[in-house]
Amino acid sequence: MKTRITAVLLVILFISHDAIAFCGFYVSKAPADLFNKKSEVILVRDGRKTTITMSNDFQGDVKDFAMVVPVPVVLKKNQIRIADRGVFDRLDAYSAPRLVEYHDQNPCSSPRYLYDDMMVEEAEQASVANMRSKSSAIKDEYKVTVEATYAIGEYDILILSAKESTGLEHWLVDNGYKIPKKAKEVLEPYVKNNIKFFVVKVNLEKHKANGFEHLNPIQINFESDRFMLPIRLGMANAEDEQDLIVYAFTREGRVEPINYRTVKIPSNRNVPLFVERYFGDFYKDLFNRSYYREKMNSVFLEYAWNVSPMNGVKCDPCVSPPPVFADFKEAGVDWVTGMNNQSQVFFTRLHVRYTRNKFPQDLQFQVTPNRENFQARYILTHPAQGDLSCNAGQEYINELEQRRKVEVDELYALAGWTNPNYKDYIEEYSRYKNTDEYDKYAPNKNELLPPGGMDHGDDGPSKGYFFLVSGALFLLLFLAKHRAEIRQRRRKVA
Amino acid sequence: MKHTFSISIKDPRLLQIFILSSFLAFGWFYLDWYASSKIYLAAFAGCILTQLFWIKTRKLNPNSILSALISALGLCLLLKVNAWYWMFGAAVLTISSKFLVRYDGKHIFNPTNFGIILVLVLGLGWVSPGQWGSNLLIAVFLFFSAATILFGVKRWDVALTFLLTLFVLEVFRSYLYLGWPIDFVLHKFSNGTLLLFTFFMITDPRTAPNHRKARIIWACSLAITSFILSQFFYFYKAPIIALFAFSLIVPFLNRAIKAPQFNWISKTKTQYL
Repeated sequence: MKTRITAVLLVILFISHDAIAFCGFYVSKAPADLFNKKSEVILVRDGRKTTITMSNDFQGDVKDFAMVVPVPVVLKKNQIRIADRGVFDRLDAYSAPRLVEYHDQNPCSSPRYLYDDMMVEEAEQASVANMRSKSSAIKDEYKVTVEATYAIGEYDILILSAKESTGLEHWLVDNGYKIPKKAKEVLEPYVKNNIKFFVVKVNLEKHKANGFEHLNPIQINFESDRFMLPIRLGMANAEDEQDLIVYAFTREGRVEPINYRTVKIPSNRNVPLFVERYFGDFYKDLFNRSYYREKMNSVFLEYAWNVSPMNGVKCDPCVSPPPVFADFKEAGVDWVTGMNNQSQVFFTRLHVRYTRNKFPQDLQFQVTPNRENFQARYILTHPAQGDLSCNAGQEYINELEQRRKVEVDELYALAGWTNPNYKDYIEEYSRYKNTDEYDKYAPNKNELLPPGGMDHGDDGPSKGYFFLVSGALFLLLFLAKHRAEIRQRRRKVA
Repeated sequence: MKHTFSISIKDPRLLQIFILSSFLAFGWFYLDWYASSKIYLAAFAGCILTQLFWIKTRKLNPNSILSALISALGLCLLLKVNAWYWMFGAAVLTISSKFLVRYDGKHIFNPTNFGIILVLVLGLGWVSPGQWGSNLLIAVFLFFSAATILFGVKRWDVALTFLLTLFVLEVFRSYLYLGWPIDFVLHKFSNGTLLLFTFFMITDPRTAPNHRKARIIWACSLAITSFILSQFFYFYKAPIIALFAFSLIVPFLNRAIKAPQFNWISKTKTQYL
């Protein structure tokens, strides 16, 4: 039975021109804060200029907060600013993996549709490893130079450069910065590579005066040929997995890591209806499974789309309103000025789960002209409502059962979920079957269809087509080779 | 002289085609590369049709179609584009460069390298150095499969010199001087793109220098240049750029150190399939 988009949807089409290719309803999303030990970064690259915004979802006592970020140049005061926390939430909500729903049409009667209300999953709170800080004077023997000190917003910021790594290490430890054990091994390469250290602490008085509970994100921008994120310093120890979500913006197209493989997270899969209730857990398990399947050393693509103000369709369907000018400005996308052709923005969302052993190098990126769209999207299909006693309706019930078997298989393939009660879900509609005493002799058509292979985001012709045409090409070559022979034979015949 | 289309089974290019195709199949089916079949098809069609055109106009030996197939596979394995017609364009340029950019009766640039550089400069495509991941199994397979071919055409010296020079430089700078742990260095050398480039692009017997001495000097300087470009100027495409630049000095090296030019079929007995 074909799935159908409804008249209700058409109304939406007219009132919101952003959703021209809208099909299916967004019902749930898997927000970034499902994952423990995660950090979020907005990365903007324009030519040689990089803008990095780091979210501080620090949960402990603010006086314990401290952050050390390696940067390639000494930053000036006007290159550092405080960003609005809300921009992270908006970008996350907009690009998060989504669950969409379709409704089957009743084959026995005129259409009648029911819609569920939107439902957003409650998410767990994320936690961040603590780093303590206390202030003390800088001693000469550390061979550490304080290049600059700034007071910006609620933060006290130092920019350090060092002559040797042990001095820097002692300085940081003596000043109360707790450095992860494994991170020490990268201090030396950073120091020798002439990397500067951007050190942030909270100014408690200013923080109190602000009256906010949370800490604001810090944004830095600088010009450098290097386009990378230093993840090595943050690695607490070899075993701990950490999640990093990167929201990247460029003019040209996708941002892609050059020293790790990028894998598209499985998308456009049909899943059972009850996944709606557990969508957060479903996506967490799906990510986990993909992470292990890809040998724990890959970067996952969760969203990629041209989000330029001029570009109409930005997702399918949209989880939340697309980024507006204010969001772009806040994120550091300073070339977006309005509805004009200069304001080209491409949004890439990458999700990395890294450990010391599997990620020996910092994340290095490149900007590619790749403008292929992608989103992590999972599909629910509601069965038809009403009387299904007509012949077409009976056929529909059989098809529905087959489809639900595939959905349950997909659920196992994607998230590894199994439950004997899933049988009830598959056979839910069998009670609407017209009983016939000869039914028990009917051939068994309920064989499992193979799961997977649904859609890999490839809108070109299938791979079979490729082999067909390349086969034809080789045949042509073969004919070309034997042309002389064939001609000779013809001549002989003549 | 009238050429007939004949392929010797001893032609090393056949093995090369087989190995490159298995890489492509692996990447496409197992590693789930982005490109659609249309793009791959465009590479093959572009290379074969252009080669046929040049065979016709220049009255060449039709078995040079094998070289065109290798170029097409090289493009599919290394170059990424947004639309199939850019790949077709790249394929046409790749093959035509063999006939249009010549010096001393030999083409100057490795055709695939030329095509890729042109598309990159125009901003129409990109190279994904991360697409193989860092898989030791792929690295080992690449190494051994390449070794069989390179011994066949006696060009293993280029690959070995390049890889060793680069490795020594990298170990000295990253491991011994900067103090990165050794897996930092190994991660770089298990990169499929770098190995593919080493074994299948710079070793091209038609564009590498003719004499062994010249080849070793050439591979050494290629490695040093790409090391400097990647370490100090952060060019992630350093080896491809370096190869392009160093192709220009090959004719001078060939003049300075003379040796007979390589020919795909001269050394093999002609056996008709």
